Amino acid sequence: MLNNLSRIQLGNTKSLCFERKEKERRTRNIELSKYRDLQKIHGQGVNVLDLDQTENRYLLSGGADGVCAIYDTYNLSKSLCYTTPTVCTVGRSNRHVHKFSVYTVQWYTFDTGMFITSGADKLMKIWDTNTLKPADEFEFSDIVYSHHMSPIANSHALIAVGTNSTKIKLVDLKTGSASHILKGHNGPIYAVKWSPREEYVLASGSQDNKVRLWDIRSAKGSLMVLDKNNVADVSNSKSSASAHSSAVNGLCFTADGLHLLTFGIDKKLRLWKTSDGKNTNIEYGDIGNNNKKAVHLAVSQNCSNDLVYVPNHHDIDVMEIKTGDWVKTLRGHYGQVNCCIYDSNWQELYSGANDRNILTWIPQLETERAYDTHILQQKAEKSKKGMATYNDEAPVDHVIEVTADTWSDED
Amino acid sequence: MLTAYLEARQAILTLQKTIAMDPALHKQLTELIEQLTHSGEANLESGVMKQIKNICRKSDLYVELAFDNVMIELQQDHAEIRLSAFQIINELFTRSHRFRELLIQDFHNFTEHATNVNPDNPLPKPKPVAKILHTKALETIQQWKDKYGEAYKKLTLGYHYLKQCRKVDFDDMEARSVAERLRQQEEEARKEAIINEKCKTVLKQMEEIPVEVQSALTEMDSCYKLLLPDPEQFTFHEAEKDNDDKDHDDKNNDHKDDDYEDNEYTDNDDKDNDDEDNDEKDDDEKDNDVGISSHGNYDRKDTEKACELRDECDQNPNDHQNIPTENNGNNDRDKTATKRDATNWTETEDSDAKRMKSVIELENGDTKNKSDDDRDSDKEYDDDDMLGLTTQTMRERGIGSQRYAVEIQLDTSMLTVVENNDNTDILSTLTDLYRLTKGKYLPRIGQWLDLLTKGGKYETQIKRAIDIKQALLSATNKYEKLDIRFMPQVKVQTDSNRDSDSDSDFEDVAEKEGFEADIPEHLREDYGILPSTKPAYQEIDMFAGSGNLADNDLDSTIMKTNERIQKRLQSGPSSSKPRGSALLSKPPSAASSSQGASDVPVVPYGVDLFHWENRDEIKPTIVRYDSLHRFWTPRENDEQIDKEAEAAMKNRVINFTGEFQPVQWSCRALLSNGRLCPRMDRIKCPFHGKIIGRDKTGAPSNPNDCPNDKAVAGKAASSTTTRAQPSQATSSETQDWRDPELQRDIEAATGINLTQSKKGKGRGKKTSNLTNINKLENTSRKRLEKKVLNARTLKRVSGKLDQIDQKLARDKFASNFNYSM
Repeated sequence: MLNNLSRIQLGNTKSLCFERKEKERRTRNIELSKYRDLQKIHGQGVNVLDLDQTENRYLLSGGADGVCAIYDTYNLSKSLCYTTPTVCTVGRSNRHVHKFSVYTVQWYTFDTGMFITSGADKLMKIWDTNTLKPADEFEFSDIVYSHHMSPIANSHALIAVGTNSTKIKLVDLKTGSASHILKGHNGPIYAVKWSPREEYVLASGSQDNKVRLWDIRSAKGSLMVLDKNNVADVSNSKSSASAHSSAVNGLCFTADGLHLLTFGIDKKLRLWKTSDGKNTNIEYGDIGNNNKKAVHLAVSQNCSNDLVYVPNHHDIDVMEIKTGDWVKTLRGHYGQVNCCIYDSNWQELYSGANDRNILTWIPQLETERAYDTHILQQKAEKSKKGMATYNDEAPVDHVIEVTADTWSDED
Repeated sequence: MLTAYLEARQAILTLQKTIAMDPALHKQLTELIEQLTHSGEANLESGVMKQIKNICRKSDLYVELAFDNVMIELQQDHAEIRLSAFQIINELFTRSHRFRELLIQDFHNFTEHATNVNPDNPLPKPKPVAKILHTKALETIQQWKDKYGEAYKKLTLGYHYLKQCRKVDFDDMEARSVAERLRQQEEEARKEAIINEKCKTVLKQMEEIPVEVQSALTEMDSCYKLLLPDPEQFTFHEAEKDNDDKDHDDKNNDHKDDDYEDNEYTDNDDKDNDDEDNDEKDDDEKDNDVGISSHGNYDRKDTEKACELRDECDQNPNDHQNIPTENNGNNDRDKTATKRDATNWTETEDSDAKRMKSVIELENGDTKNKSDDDRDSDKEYDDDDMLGLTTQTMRERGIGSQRYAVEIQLDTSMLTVVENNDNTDILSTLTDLYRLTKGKYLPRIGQWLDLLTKGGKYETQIKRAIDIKQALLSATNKYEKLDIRFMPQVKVQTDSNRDSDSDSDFEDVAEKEGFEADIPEHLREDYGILPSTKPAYQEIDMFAGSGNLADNDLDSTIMKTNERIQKRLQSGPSSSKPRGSALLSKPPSAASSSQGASDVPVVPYGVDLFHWENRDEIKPTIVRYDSLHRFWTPRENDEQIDKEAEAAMKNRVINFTGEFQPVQWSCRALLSNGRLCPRMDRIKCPFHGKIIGRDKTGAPSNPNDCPNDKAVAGKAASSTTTRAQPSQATSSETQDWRDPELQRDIEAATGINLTQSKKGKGRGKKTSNLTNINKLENTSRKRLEKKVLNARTLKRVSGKLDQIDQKLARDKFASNFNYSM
């Protein structure tokens, strides 16, 4: 970092380049935070997480028990030891709570006054954050696996809904009704994602192994059907080409929207060009995945080499998007990891899993290490003064002690 | 650029690693870990562990290596290996930071393999070790968490995960899984419900039955009262004295002829006796007689006893005339003791308490024997004028005081009640009640108590049940103490009547109907019984004396013998044999000869007898039609003889009804375990051949039998060896050419261990102390399975079932054309 700083001062590198390098360095080195916790709300697994786009401050979580919670991730306590509290919760006692598992939660694109949840009780609810009451409810004939609202769209307020049926429904928030139906898939639709680049482009992944890109303005059918072998004509919406050899349950556009990552139960992660629907054929290796529901991947933003975070059973695999190189594995969960969400402001990662935990992964690095040394110094000073008080900051004291090796001479 | 630098650094690091690792140490560490984990011991061998720690201490690289090896061992399918691996992990975990990091990274794996928390992935066998491992691992995890939790976030997370998601109760050191706990709770609840249900039924029964029991108890009680009057009810009648005296002579004369109705009765508490005696004291002032009277059929006996007592009183002075007696106030005692037969009595005179102690033991036989003596004493008694026996004469005879306290101690050990016409009903009711109590009430109350104590919350009911049980027990005990002698003749009569229906062998039973226990004197001649003896009683007494036979109801064999005795008795005094021997030696020859012609077997009339004369002419034929339609085919006379039907007409099946004679000898051949073969075969033991006489060690007593036996044994041995271990036999052969000395020389020269080479070839596997988990467990279920699911058994059973089915079908549809086959 200091090297790069001096280079900026010398004018050898551009500030953008520095920023990207530094971000990459941080994202590459994220580790499980020792001192940060999130308040425990969920009595069952955490299915989905979402950060609001405006501030990247409020974390919305949806659990398998139907409970939704909103956390304020900003640490204003001036201490590194910090448990993130919830701002508000839609608990079991709430009259409007989802009866069954919540599969998707999403903040409204432009502010935090509204959020949308849907789940296994076949309902999608539009919540007013301040009153914690649903402003509107949409009922579907099948379990709602996934819904998504365009992160950039100004001209429309459509929510794409993927359910256990073969049709994608588009719910218009302006009219409060289902305006479109997109037909084409032959199986339940596990994942839908709007492109962050084109406001009318939608991607969908289904159990029929196919990933389709739609232009919602076109009435004919899907825009492209992705073919893993790059053989078939992608524009033929009736082509039999498939993106994976089994169900597709994870979709994620890269931050620039030029590429699409798809994740299938065949343990493969694939990267596609959104422009022509070609498979880039980057090999990411086998990544465990046997969920019959949507899996939420996360990608980093604005790094020189962007990374993708993929849930792999109890762990999260971190890989370079462009090369497919394995960077590291984040280990901390004890249950199937369902979702990751990347905080681009702080280069942090939140992950939710079936072990009911939401874990915070932060660029460990200097801050916490500095904090450790700081505590150590304080302790040394105190002991010098002969007024060692073991009670102050005792936990951190202890941490340093116990991380040391204790080979005894007797052995 | 950065990546290039990083790569270069990585390469340098790996290079360093390979350099830093000493291959020898590397190998040693791996071996040590394997040695430790495969030891099968519950605790680690501290020496080896020390070596491992020493190596690990050198560098983190060794720690990593150790971690890899230990984790591999932890995933082995053997609980003992896992336990040892876990112990190594614990040792290293508390020492090395690097090890902690590595383990905590892989903590999920660790909990999966070291604990039973995942029901889909349980710990391997052996079970007890797995249980220890599970508990220890959970304990250790808690300790780790307490100590290192803050420094290693994932450890804390893991702990909470186990606690919250896997529901591991760390406080409960049993640390059972949720499912297990639930199952156990359900089981307990179920058991409790069952017990409660049972308790309820018991309580219901307890409402009903005590009425029955109570009535039975009161009935028994009144029976006892009738049979054995309470001494408190005894009254002393002076008036009876005269009757006594009058009866006295007759009684002594009739003594042997009369029904022997001597009842001994006892009183447990001497206190009552004392009271009695105090009453007596007053009576004694006037006359020295002791009168005890009771009711019913005891009058006679009592008076008799009273007379005897008086006899003794009379006799006593005669015997002790020359003994100086001292009467004074200084508490001197005048003791006179007389022992006559089994009758003891002690006379004690005392200024304060004058007591006369008399211990009377009356046995039936004794009384009989002493009848002569009695007679003598009676004479004496007759000489003395009993009526004139006043205080004066008493004093003359040296009995100074007129106040006597007579304490009668009666033998409480056995009370004899002899059945007679008067008390037979009472006794039969009593016996019935006793049986009812013993056979029904007591066991049931025992069951109640068991159940109620299991139920736990019915204290009052338990108390009640115990009270009832006590009452019943005391009642039955009373009965058992009583020596009840039933009237055998009554029994015999009824039994013989019953038998005569089923058993035609004893046709002369009818004669016996006139048999009575007390045959009047004048009729004795008619029955051929010598008047001077009491044969009937003697016979009966012989049986009565033989212990439990008299107590219990007579079983059929005894009844038969009794019948035979009676027959013999009636057949007259002509039998020259002494009576006892006649009883004991059954006369089979005489019996068979007397039956004579009636022994000819009589067979009921049957088909075979019908064809007895014309056996050769029987030719039952059947016509077989090739097509079942007899109109369309020409009739051909190809009648065939039905062999089965023919046989059925000629033969008769008679089931053998011989008597079973139990085998009275066992094989007694020496077994390999040093014992003798306990098989009881009639002729031939399946293992040791023909059964021969053997001495205590199992060796044949007759050496001629020996070779045969040995041959059999040798054959058996050889067959087993060839079957089980053919290699052993050959090895013993090869042993012959081996010269141990030569071998030792060769070994010394070459340095090769020749003995081991032989061994190594047989078994490729290393010997380890681990418990063999592949060994089939010898459970009762397995053994049963072997028996029940055995192919032969299955075949047999299915065959039987098929047979039954066929029979059913045949029985049902035999007359139905459609089903005929």
